[in-house]
Amino acid sequence: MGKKILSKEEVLHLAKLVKLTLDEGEVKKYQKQLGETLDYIKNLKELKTKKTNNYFSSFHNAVNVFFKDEISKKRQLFKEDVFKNAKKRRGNYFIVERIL
Amino acid sequence: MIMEIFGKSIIELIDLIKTKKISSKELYHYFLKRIKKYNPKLNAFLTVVEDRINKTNRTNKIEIPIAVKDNFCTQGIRTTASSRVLEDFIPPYESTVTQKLIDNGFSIIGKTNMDAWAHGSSTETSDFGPTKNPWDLSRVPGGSSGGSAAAVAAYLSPAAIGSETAGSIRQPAAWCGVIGLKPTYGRVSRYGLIAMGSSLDCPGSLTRTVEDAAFLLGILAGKDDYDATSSSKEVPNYLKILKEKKKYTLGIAKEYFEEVDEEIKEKVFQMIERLKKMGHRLKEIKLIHPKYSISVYTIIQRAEVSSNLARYDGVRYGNNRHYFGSEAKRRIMLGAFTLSYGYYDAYYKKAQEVRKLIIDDFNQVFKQVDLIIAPTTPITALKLGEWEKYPFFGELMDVLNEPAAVAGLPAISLPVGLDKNNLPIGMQIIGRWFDEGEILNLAYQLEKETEFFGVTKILEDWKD
Amino acid sequence: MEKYQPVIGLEIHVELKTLAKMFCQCPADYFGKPPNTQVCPVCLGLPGALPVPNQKAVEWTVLLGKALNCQINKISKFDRKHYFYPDLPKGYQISQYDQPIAVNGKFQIPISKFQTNSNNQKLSFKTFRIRRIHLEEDTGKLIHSGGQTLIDFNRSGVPLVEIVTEPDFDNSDDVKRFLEELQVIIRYLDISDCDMEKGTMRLESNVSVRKIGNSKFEIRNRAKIKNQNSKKENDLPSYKVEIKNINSFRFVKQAIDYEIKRQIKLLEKGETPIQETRGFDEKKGVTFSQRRKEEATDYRYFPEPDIPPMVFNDHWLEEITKQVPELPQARLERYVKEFGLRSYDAFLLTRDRKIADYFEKVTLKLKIKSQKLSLKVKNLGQTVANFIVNKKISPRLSEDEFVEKIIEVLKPKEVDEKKLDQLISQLIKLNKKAVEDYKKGKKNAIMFLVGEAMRELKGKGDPQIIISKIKSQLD
Repeated sequence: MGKKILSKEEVLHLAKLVKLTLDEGEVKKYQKQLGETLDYIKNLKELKTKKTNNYFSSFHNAVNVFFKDEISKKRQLFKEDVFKNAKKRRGNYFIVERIL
Repeated sequence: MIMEIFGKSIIELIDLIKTKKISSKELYHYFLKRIKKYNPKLNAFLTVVEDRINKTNRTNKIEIPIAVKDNFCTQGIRTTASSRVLEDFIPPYESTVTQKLIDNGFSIIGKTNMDAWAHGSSTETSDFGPTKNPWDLSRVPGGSSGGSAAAVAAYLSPAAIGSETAGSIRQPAAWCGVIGLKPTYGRVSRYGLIAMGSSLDCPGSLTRTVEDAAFLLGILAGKDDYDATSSSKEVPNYLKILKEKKKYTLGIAKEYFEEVDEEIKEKVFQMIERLKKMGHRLKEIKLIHPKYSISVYTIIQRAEVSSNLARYDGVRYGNNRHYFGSEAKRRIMLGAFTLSYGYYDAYYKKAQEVRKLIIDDFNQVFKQVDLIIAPTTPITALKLGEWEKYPFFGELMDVLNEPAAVAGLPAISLPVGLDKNNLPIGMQIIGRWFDEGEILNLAYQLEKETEFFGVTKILEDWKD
Repeated sequence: MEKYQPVIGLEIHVELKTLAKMFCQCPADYFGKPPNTQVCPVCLGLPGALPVPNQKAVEWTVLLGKALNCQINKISKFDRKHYFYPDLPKGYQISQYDQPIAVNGKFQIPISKFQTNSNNQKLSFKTFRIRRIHLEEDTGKLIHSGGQTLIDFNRSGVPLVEIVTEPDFDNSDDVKRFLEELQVIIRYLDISDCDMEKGTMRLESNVSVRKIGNSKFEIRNRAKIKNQNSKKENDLPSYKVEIKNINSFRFVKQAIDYEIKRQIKLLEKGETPIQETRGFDEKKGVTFSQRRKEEATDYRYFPEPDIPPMVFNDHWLEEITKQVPELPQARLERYVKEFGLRSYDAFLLTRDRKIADYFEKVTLKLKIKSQKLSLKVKNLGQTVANFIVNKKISPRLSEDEFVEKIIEVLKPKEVDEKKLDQLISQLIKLNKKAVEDYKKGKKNAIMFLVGEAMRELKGKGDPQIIISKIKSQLD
């Protein structure tokens, strides 16, 4: 099994999906590093497994965890807290550069 | 007076306040002074709370300072997860863990350094510089809860809160010579803990005594309506269970001693011999090889990381995505890849299936034994910068912690001696789901028997 | 000659009217609230905040699934759907991927045009398949202004149900009727306002067109009829155009009709329409390109680790099933049978659950009351229906008041029969000239007597009855 190296396009496509901008060096680095990691985790194929759609309940018996449909103001944020950490705001809105 | 305080546990400090030997205020200033003096050398704290009164507990007479890892949201106290993305983030809400601490008479004295977003095992991925190991300043404390472990080891705080995804409490506890308890997944609420791997993350403690670990768990454990994955299982009285006389059947798996440093093996085997003499039964067990846990862990954790870090867009808080460090970027990229169309089945789904296999495997083993004994780490603390030699550094350092983490099991790391470089060695006890009481009981027995060879107490360098 | 057949599938989003949001306890009603005032760490996507699902929203989705004859998945779960957009605070939407709450439903809708006069019209129905119904959270709202886009997160986290149909539609009329019927059903269930203009009901329609009419196709089509369920999928066009952001049923029809024509035109030129998302310009009545679907979006779904799975046991599902009310079609049939209503009136009355309930209560009360008064009412149900449908009496009245009014209208005619007889014999005596004229064969002269009688009765009499009474006295 040869070492898998991701293509530049694959890396750039992934970067776009996760909204990261990478420089040339990073792209090269990830092509190699992602390939290495994929090589490493291939060992799972050695194990026979059954299909599972609910691993969760095997160690954590909780199912059907809900809250009742009631309004609680306990966690609602005050206006000043809502915008306390925002770098930019316009009136009572968060803002980004126009997208449409 | 100061000599009386150094090295005292939470339980002992509470007693000092109760008997009026010291006031809560004096105690807080004692630690504040120590932090000011020693933190420049250690870089264990990112934020120090100078104003002692943390809002809600003005009425409490007993107030014990405690350090909290910087990935727990603390209302009004900067919380960064050691990333520049959140360098100026001041949470408008309190995590359940810190709320419970405040409600139970603790004051948060500061927020501790960590690997950025908890990605790492050395604190070197912190955007605010690494923490140094109090045993040797040229070495790392482990991670990601390295700041918390170092703060407790150097007694800048009597105890600290950490979080573990896979090894992030146990490994730095081992490298700093303190006690690190990682409870069962779901035993302690994750609400307000900045998510790393959501199906793995688990708040826990770093302490100097087993009793303190039991005391803190008693406070932190329990169902939280704000965390759907928190367990509604009843919380037992850990301090009581601690003192019950119990004999256990202990499992030892060969797989957990492969590629482990000779000195560590030796010390752990000495402890096992001791346990035998104390009347516990030993049983050899066979577990799925930890290398598979690494793969499962790598896939699941990174998928969850890549998803959990998607909210950081700089619109509502924090800086934009350009501020992510290289480790976070790498994990986001890999996570996105394994979840991508066409790879989901081969990687993520397969990993979940193997995860189930690992869980079933532990289930089988726990029919034969009560607790499992293993080394915490394959080596002792590395020098700063050494991690770059290991492409899978984090995963390899945590190789012995990942199986339990992947299965959501509780475990504790205890100091069992020093190596030839005078660096602490850790041994861990892994228990059944929600068997923290039994883990703590055995740990307490060992503490009484060996006093951990003085490891938790002998840091004379950090005495004033 | 070649023919074209449209292939249309629908994705309908419906906002549930729960009190609280889907994953936190902020109020779900965001209409007219100042921006960003109904938010908490969860729906604002703050670091460390965790979702806990709203039980009612889950129950209502199951209820809807039942009402649309779906199979309910015994184990269901939430998944994360990843994409970046400023209205999506977590960078993912909590939705459902491979184990949605409900699957494989079918929805029957009446499609015959009603004739108001015909008494016993047979209704005809068409059935459309529901692929899935899942539950998710709504996003925030964006306002584009100047060089900026403004974001309000009050709507973020409001429970949203997505209903996906199979591509079973081939014309816009059926789509419109389907949506109208769906709206009626959802309002019956009382789980959403389901208002297109307010945006509590939103539609995306996927439209494409395929060629039929060459013999090869016909043979294949015939063979496939046997295998109804896998019929259309095998034969779908290679592209589909998504039309978004339409806010009335009327525009839905216009947009689809326009789009079908546009695509046929392209196909006739030998071109394949581009796979894209299009909007609808209401003024011009045309669809326009909004954005190209970039290299097949990759949402990187995976199971939401913050929420344990949902396991629905039989007992619980039975309890929910019991909550499904009698739906309009069943009611319509019952009204025709039980009350002898004309189908069209039964249809009108059953469009709104409140009106239907009102009708039934009034009918029952009138029955009791009229028996007490020994008042004979012919076609009791139809009579009440007439009053409601023709709005002769305001249905805003309480049921008792409504009954009173009906009785008032019905009563005088029968009770005053003796008086009427007396009045007529008096009129005959007083108007000899008219009587004579009538007897001489001037049949119109009777109308003078009717007019006099009506004036005496202040317009409350029934002219037909009066005529017959006059005739019987004179002949």
